[in-house]
Amino acid sequence: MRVVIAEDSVLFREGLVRLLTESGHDVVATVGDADALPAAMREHRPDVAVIDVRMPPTMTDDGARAAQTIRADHPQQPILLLSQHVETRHSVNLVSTGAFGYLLKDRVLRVADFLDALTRVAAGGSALDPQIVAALLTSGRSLLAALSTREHEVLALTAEGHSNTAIAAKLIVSERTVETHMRSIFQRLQLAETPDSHRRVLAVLTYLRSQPM
Amino acid sequence: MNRGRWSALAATAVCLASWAALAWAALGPARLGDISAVYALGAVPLGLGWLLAVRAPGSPVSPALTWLAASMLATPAVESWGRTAATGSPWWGSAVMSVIGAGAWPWQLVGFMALLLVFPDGRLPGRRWAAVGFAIPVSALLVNAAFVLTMNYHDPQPAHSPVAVPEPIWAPLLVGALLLLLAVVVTCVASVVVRYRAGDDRTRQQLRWLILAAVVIVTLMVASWVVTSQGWLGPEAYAGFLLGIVVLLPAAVTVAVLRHDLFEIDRILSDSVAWILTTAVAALALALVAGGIGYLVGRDSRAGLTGSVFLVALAVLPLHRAIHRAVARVIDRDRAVILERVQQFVEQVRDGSAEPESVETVLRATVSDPELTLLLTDVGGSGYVDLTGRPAAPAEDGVRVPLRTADTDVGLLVVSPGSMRGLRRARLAVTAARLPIEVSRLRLGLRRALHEVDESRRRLVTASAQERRRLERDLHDGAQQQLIALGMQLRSAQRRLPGAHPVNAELDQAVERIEHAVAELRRLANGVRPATLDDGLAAALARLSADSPVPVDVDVELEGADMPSEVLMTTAYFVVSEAVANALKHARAQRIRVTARHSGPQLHIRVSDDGDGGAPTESGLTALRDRVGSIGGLLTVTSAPRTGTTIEVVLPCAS
Repeated sequence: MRVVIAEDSVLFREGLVRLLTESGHDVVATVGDADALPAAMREHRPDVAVIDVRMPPTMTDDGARAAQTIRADHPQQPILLLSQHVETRHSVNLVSTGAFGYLLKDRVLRVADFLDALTRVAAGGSALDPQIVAALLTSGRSLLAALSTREHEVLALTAEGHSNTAIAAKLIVSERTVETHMRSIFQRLQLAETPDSHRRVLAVLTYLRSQPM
Repeated sequence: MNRGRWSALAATAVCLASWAALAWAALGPARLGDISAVYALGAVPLGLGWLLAVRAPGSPVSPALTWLAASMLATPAVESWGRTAATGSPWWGSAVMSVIGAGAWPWQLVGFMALLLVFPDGRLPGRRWAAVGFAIPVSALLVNAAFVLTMNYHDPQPAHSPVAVPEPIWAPLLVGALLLLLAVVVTCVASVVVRYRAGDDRTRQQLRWLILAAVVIVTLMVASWVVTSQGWLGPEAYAGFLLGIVVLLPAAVTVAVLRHDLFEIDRILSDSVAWILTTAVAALALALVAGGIGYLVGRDSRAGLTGSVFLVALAVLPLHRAIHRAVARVIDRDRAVILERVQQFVEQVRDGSAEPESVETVLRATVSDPELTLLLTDVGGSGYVDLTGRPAAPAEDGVRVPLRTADTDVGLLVVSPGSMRGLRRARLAVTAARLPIEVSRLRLGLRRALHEVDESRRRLVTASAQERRRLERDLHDGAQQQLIALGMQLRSAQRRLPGAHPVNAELDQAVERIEHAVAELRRLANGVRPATLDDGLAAALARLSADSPVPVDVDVELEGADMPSEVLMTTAYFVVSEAVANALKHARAQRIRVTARHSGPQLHIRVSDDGDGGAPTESGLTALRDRVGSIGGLLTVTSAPRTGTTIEVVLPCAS
């Protein structure tokens, strides 16, 4: 995969480059500044962009805003946001669009999971950090209070981007049970069921986005 | 040279001739030997007359004074001239002069009467008063003539009137002339009264000088009369009276013309009259009481005398006060009115029905000076401020009166330029209003100090919030980042090891520890400043409930409001998180409800639980209270036993 990295911390950036290169990916460009990112994207058209949220010039959420700008130009561009801490202000708009991931930076240390997530995002899927999912879910807590603990778990895993099969394996239940849970969730959240499991995740997150933040 | 000067010059010539005549009559061949020092005193009105001629040209008082001196001196000169007829070396025409001199004394009054009539500005009180101007010399002439014509009948010395008046006529003639003179004198005095009543402030004040002199002269005259009638002193007792006429009266009118507001004449006059009245009343009372007691206990009783003195002494002080007040109300009315008004205001301030800051308005009204400004010394600053605390500079053309209390500069009173009298009034009023002025100044200082404390607290809180934010970033971007980079390096190293290498497991462990450390750092940073606040206060509060073991209903509606400041958000967040923690820890709550609403310029937060209630209202909540207080908010706790606890916080959004 051809990857563009936007990260201001040299140490982390170099580590990431090395990790990706050693895993057989091609880091075509690195930038340390959110302002330089759109140009690099236009030039290299990477398969996926890994972007740090907090970056120069303002050191607040420049990365997230750059991601939105990129998406405005190329709605299909896969993007993986990295953050030091949970922050949902900007990601909410993007999670429902697909080909999007949002992970805490330390997830990089679980190399296999990280590469898996990156690949998933590049392929048009989603990859959300459990903590970020939790934060997104809390925002809509009042309505989600109707869900049982198990349904919560299922929804959380779904939101992280896992398929029903993966969820069944993780929760050590049958795939059918997971499907039952999903139906129940949609019912309780008053969502129309669609055949595509991925769309269902997006539907959930779209619903969450509509919650007052 | 104007008419006044010519007149003064003529009067001066008369004075000089009179002096020469008097001196020659006394020391010359006639050897009359009688020369009085009083004649030398004639120089006083003459000199003052000339002083006025120079300093206040055109003032009618100047010739009046010189003629006063001239008439005073010319009369005895004519008399002396006449008396030389009886000596060995009679002067030329002394026989005629002796006849004229026999009735010349009314001329001595002419100067005084003229002065009374024209003082202070020469304008007569009305058209008809011009007749009085003519009546003065005419009445003097008539009396003189009447005396001359009738001298054969009443003069003890053998004298020969040039025209013999039949006997039945002389008495009515003399009495008629004297009555006319008396009427003219009374009219002249009345002119003063009329002028005083119709006059403006300045005229009245000038007249007060004349009245003061008149009061003193009359008093001296009465005193002299009492002293001589009792036989305590001879005619020399009248020296004071004469001095009063010759020196005091001219001096008083001179001052009145030149510097009418030199002293507080109202007050001097008022005090003098009050003193004289008190003395008179006290003397009368003493006489009556002593007489009464003497009648009861025996005329020569020492105890009776002591007792009467004691009784009168008891009465004199309150009597003096009452008289003083009464006199002041009549003579020094302005002063009494000012004091009364200001006193009334001070009492209103004392009982809370008036603000001390309205003192300027009151002073303006009291002394009728709309330009009057009261400036206060800036407490803790330099320069002056007005009563609202705004810096102000005294008006350029205003008269400045510094206000001081002991060693403290309290402020400055600026009045529009005017008479000394106006200035004295303002001074009087401002002295009486010292208390509200000082209170205003202190209140201003207090407000300013509180404002400064508020400002500095705000700065500290803001600085502390910024510091927290910086610290949080340092933790995230510094330590945390470094640790992750370290972990990545380890992973990279691990990759190059053969799969079954025993170090692999160790590296896994090390990376896991790093992950823990990163999580720990994240938790720490969150305590310093919750990163969730970046998503807004509502999101941060909602997230707070996620960590709670019991349900927390978060109901936050901050839409439509401006983005709260960092300080406000952090404070609100920590207040809620602390209140929730308290509910969980102490109240054994089953359900917690958090609401936050914007209401105008305030943020209302309410955290209620269904726990035990009975929370300590003070000690346990000190930290919370301090946090709320640090940005000028208010915290109220309602916590009756078994009804749960409700904490309500109002935070000002401007912080």
